Amino acid sequence: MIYTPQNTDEIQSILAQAMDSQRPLYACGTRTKSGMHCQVSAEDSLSMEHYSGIIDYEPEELVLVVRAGTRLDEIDQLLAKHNQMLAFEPANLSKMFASEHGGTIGGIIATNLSGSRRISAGAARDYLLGFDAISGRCDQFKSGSRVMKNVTGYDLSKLMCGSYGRLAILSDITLKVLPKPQTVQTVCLTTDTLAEAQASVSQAFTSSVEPSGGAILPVADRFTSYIRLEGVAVSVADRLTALKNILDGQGEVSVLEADESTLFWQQITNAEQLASSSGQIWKLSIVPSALPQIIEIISSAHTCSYIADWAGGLVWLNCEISDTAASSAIIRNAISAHGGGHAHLVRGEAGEHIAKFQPQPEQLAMLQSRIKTAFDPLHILNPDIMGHEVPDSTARADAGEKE
Amino acid sequence: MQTHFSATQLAEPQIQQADDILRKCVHCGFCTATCPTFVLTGDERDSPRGRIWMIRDFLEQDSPADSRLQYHLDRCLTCLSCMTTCPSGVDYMHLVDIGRERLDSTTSRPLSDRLVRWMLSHIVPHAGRFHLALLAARLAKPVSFLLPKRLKAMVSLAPATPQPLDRIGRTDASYADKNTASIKRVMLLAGCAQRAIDPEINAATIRLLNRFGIEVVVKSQASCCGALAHHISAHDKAMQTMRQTADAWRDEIEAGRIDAIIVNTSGCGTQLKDYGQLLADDADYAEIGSQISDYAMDISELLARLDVLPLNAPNGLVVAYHAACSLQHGQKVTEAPKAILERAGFRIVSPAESHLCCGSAGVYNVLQPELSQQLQARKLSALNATGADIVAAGNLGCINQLADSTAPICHTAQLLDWAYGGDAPAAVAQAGISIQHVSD
Amino acid sequence: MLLPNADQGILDRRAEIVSALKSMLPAGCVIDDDKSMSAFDTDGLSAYRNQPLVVVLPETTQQVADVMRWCRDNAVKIVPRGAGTSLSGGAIPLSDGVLLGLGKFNKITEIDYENRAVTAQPGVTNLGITQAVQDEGFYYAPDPSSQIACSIGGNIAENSGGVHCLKYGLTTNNVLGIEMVTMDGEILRLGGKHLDADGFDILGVMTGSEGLLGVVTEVTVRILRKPASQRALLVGFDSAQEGGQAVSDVIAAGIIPAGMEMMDGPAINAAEDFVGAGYPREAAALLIVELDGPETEVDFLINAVSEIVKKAGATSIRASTSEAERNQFWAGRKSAFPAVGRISPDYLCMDGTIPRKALPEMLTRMASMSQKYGLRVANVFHAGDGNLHPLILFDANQPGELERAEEFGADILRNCVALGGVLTGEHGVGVEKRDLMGEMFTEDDLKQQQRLKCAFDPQHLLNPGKVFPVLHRCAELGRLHVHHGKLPHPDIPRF
Repeated sequence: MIYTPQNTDEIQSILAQAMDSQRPLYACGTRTKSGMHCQVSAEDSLSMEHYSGIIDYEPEELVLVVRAGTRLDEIDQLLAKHNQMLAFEPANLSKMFASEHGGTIGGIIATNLSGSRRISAGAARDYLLGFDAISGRCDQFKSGSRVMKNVTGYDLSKLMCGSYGRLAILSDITLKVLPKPQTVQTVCLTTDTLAEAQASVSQAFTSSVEPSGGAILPVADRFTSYIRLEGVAVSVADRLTALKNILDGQGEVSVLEADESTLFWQQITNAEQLASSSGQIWKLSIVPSALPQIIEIISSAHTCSYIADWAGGLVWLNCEISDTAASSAIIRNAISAHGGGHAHLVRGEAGEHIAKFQPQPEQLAMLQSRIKTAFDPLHILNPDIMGHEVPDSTARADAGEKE
Repeated sequence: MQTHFSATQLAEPQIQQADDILRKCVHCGFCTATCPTFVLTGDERDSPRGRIWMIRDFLEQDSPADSRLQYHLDRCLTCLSCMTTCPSGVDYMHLVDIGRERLDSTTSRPLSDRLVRWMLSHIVPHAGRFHLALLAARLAKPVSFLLPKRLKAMVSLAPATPQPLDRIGRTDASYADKNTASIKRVMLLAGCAQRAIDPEINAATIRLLNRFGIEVVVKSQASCCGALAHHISAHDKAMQTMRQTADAWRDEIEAGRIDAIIVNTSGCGTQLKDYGQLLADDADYAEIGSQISDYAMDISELLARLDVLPLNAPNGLVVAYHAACSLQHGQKVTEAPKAILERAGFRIVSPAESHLCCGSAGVYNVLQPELSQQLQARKLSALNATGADIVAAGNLGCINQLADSTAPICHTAQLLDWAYGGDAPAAVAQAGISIQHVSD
Repeated sequence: MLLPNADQGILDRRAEIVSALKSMLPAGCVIDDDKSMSAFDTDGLSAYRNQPLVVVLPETTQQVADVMRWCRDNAVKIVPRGAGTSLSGGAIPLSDGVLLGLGKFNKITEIDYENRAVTAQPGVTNLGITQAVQDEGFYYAPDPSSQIACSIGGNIAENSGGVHCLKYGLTTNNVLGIEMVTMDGEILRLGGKHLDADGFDILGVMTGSEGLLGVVTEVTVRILRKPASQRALLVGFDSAQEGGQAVSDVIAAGIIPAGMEMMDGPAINAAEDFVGAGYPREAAALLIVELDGPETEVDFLINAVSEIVKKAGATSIRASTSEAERNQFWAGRKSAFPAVGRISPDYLCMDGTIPRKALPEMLTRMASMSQKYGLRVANVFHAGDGNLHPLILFDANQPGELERAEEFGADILRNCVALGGVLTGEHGVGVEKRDLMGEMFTEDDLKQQQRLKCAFDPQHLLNPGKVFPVLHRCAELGRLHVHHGKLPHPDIPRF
């Protein structure tokens, strides 16, 4: 059964019914990237695709209020008209998952799917100012507001971002928007080793040129770093010269002009270079300076292609890790041995030995489980979406005390 | 802040004064950031804000015996870094004076504590006695590990090389260079501990001033400014000393024969500049006290103001300027010493954390050895990290405290004297450092 | 402003509690004499004092964990404390609670320029982090006005802002990771030098949780390269309306300055008397706009912003031509609070946020409130993000004035919410605004937030009496209101 509510009363009603009949729900948007997560243990779905539309947009206040089911392309179009953007550059994984479009804003929030500019501008979670929602308890509640400077009460917006719909169904979402930069250019440097490429990107980010994107692509036997500069034309021109000076002598330098740049970073954000391949796609979040070592370890065990973004802090990896005890641990062990981080099997089946999402240390897992209980004690929303959930026993007892 | 003094309490001038100071404090805590003891301990009670809060309670409760408060006020360096930082203008210096004075009259100290304080206040301010004590201390150095904590500290602070007692200050005298036209006539406080520890400082000071036509007068009876006794709450001794000094200078001041009172130990400078307040309640000394405050000046202030020092070419030497607390915080003299050293041809660098005390703080390094030594190590580390050739300071206490600096340390006046034709200061000569003299 | 009633059972067991704490901490780390404890009896909201049960100043994370676990097992409350500079009373002690001070956690443990991260203990000051990296040309961007003294751990608890958060975000946008101790005495690591949480963003919800969810024992923050150029504009207006409009116009033009601050007439004159920064005294509103970044960009933006403010009716415009001049422009704004402290024995510094466009309306309302309560008010605000700091002037030693000032303050905050804003922009709710939470949140909203608390601290031992006006028991909050066999909205169509 797929429910498609059009207003919050309907959402609540569906939830109430689900709670009462103990039938969990797969809370989703337009399901353009459901391959990112595990199979949800629910026969029924609640899709927000018809709960869409712009509620309020005030460009000079830098605020956009929108319904969760609104498509991203609709939002982008509206903002572009006023020369504004979602600065965190939401990723569009439609190519990766052979979907028709890039999904809804609700889906982006649920997955915290931020693109290349995340390294300088922040992630989706840094732009969610507030929301209205219906919890897994079927309670309507709100948090945050329309203003950026707000520390009133707990920052539940952060909790919602990246929660994969496990806590509540967001209905109305308030986002901070920013002006679009006037122009963009990208400096490219080709070097012989990954370590040199990483070092050059790090240099750019620790200098005064203020890059807004740093990526590395392996090309044949060599490596090309890409450093994006955005802003007003005079500034970009100046910084371009400065950056070229900094990189002087490190390898071959070239420049991508505005249109080429825009296209390039769109592809990086969407991991398009890997999307057309078959096989697993992993998303690694690592300490940037550990990039060369981690890639070394993984590529000595498996053939893989990859894209490094976020100045080396994000790796999209395309390879084939077999579902054996030996293979599966390679990626996550490499990460934990080099500064820590996590790995998410974005595209590919979980297995006996492969967990799609990073396993948590026990105490942290228990805290997460208690947080889940606080919002959805009956596990109505997206059960097992990030892997097998063990319901918190205290919750059952409390929830069982029905009036 | 809110205070709760009764009308009766406020009828007492000292309490009224305390109330005026306390009401300015808004408990913002900015002072904690630059307080050396808070930086070391992270304990609110060892911060100016905490001390102010506890002094307020103490005074409101009619100053009962309070050894806990006394303990924390003893640990305060009185460096006044907090006053430089305070955005609300809280006069911490006088508040802590009031707190200490009243504590002393209600709270008894253990015998050993009283003994050490008695020794310090009866020996150090008397150059002759102090000189003898230093000789004894030097003899005790090899067995100092057997001594109790504070005696051990005293012994370790005695300079390794014996110095003769300074003759300047032994009698009334007047110093001038007969070959130079006299432009000013100033009184010099010869000092107490300084005369026993490093007589070269006064000699260099007088040579320097004379060279530029400044006549220097010294009165032997002005043997001590009273700061030491004042800071260890030997209130009567402090007042007696201040009066003696005031009397020694009275004739010259009242006759209008001097242009300034020059101090080359900044710890004394802060005290002299406060004579107006400290002697305000004494009918016979209020006026002279106020005049002394007006006339008192650090040697660096005089030289900067008179603008007599010729501009030398850079001499290639790097000098780390150590800003003594009494000079930078107590007297707010920050730029003058650096400016005149640069004028003399030295390149000036500042160490990190230059606002933090070196731990000398008068006799604090004897009374609070653990905290003092931590600050000493921290300051030496910062100075050594500058890589400078020489360290300059305007206060004897600091110079003695930082004797273990990698680069030789000496007084600003000694460096200036050297740059303008005098001999190299002993520490500098020993280190084999030389400069080209400006041709006379 | 009441704190929860003290539990007599705990008070009766004080000696046993103190003794237990002394057994798990080094000498000198447990402070239990009355006179010493009074030094810790308040924070930046110093009109309110409360003597704690006992003060502990642990030195290591393990000691913090031991204390917290013991307190949980013995149902003893804890109030965490950083530098005690909170303006909302977040660190005001409880008479039956342990005041847990992090002042001894004052070391910077790692500086990693390559990954642009600094790891520090929570007692390190905000400015201390910048000072540790400034020689290499880096800095830590969030700059609350108390940055010289406030602790980075406290910054996390309050999600502190500052002048530059318009461009660089709040603390939450600049924290990479923390180590924290839960009320169960568990030591958890969240985040690190890698980006994005895996699982729930607990780091994100800890930031701004005002000491209610856990105690932070280590912090990793993002450091940035210091901008090549920083310049400021000092702009005068004949009315706050025009000033507010200018602010909107700048943003609408697609320019996000590093900071935009506004002061009204009374604040301008108080600052000018104190510091003599060269402010135009006749101006009804003064705007300071700071632009930073690469040199060409800053020069370009200075011109662009100058044009915009001119069109908006600026009566005077000065652009800084040197670092010294830029600091001079800021001198008055930075000393606005103490300057105001010199013209009045006491003042209440309020903190609320409104949408930028509501600024003129708010100022109008504020003027009439000032009349109503008979108290002067000087306004300083982060105009760029609508965060106001009205300074209500009063004399605490005059009977009734503190109460009137507080009513005035509460009235201002209600108006903030009514105009589409929030109760607190950066100072936190603490005790100061606790009882106004109902102006902004429904019972359901507050209960949901409290359920989150139950996941961390079901016994409500961490900082009770702060932020939330009514404490519900976790068992009660956990009950579901689903009637057996009956649906909550019987009249809604079923699918």
